[in-house]
Amino acid sequence: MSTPPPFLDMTEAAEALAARRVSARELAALHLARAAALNPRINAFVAMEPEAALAAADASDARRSRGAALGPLDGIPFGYKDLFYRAGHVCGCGSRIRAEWVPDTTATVVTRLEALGVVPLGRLHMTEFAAGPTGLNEHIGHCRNPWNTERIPGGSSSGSGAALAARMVLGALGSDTGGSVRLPAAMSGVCALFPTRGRISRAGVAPLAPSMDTAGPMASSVRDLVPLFAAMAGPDPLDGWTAPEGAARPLPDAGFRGLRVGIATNPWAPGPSPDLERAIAEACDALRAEGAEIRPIAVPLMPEALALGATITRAEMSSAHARWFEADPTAYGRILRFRLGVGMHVPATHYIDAQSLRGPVSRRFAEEVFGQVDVLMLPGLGGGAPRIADLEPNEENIETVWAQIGDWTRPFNYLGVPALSVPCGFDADGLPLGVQLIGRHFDDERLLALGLRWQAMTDWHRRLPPL
Amino acid sequence: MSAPAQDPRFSPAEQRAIAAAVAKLTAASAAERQGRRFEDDAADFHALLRAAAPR
Repeated sequence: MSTPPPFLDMTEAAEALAARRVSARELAALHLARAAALNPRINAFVAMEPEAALAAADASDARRSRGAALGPLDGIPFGYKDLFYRAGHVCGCGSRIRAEWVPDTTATVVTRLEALGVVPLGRLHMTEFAAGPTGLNEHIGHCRNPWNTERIPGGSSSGSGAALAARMVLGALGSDTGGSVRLPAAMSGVCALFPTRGRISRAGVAPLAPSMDTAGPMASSVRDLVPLFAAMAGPDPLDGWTAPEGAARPLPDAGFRGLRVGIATNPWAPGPSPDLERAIAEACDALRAEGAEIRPIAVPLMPEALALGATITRAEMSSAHARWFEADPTAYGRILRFRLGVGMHVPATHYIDAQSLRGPVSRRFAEEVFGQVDVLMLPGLGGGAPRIADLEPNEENIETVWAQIGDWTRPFNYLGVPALSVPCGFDADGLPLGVQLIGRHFDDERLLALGLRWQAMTDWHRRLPPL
Repeated sequence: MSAPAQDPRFSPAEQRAIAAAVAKLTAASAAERQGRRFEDDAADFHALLRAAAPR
């Protein structure tokens, strides 16, 4: 049993730093020691960078000493999913191919966060090239769920979710092409924002499927996501997909009174499990007590978004990897090899049709859903985290069990709407359960405001795994 | 388009699995393309996002 973490979330730590109850160096040293002690069981870190972390912490302390602290992120122990480029640092992408690769550029979001003083502790585990929802990785070993190490942590931002759950770090970066910040958040009992497409730059983030990829903040609480999103969001000339209007705005004064919350009557993915169904029903009761109106709704266009989105993802990832695959197809793990093989044979006409339908499908989805409700509340996945032993990587599982893990999350990458993933309870095995709140395009701030209200009413996000 | 079953970069077992997956994916995609009539308004996805953005 490890010692309890000094702070439950980033906001608590930031308050302690501001009050000089702890220094950034002490905080970094505590989290480095905690990560070193827990990592052999969790494998959330691919590599820790203690010397650089302590140097960054010292710089933070020096700023604070001269009254020049940079805000709530200054001095916070942080982690990067191992696909965010940092000039001069290895960026392995969970792969054999890039295991020793050193980029000469830095991701825009990394630059923005480090300009506000975050203290990076190292590189975090991920599924190979971010292609998969599990956190299993045959090159660098599996990442394990801190709540139960026989379970997957969710992926592909597996290390980000697991490191946050274990409080190895207090903030992390992830990326999401089909659920890759939301699934580890749900399975590991932490929070993540999957932003509206175009609000956060992907420049310097290793691509998987460029028109589906997003970068997103992950943290132990929604209140921590707010300053992270504010730091990360906004236009970037290096990413042509970023919207000129994408910068973060003040959170609205949004509460649940009068809010129309849609609950799906047409599940298109496995689950929800009985435990998750109960947790969602209890959440609905709590929201009703706060004045929300719960509206059952048949969520339209989910099969379409799944099929068209899969067409795009498969084709784009195979294009991104074509050169390396031609050079050495054996350098890929079994699952990614198979997925790339599928993408190589998607007809160009299907890909182009899937892209040309994206605007009309997304518009129709927004009109039909948000004409009836203000937000959707949906499972993050069908229940608690699956067992590692049930996910033997083979071509049969990849098209059934693996694919279905992300079926609640993947449609929204195609549609481009934002989603906030928050804990909503635990199952009978003691595993975290999560829901995603889906909002209109550019309604990220309202989702965060609602998440704040939700976490003021609940303490699921304050519970810690039995490490 | 090369048929997956003729792709020498994959083992015979992988070729069979890929062929099955491609058939399933393209069938689903084709069904979604043909099963509905979406307005052909030439709007692209980025234009939708721009229209939704706050001013």
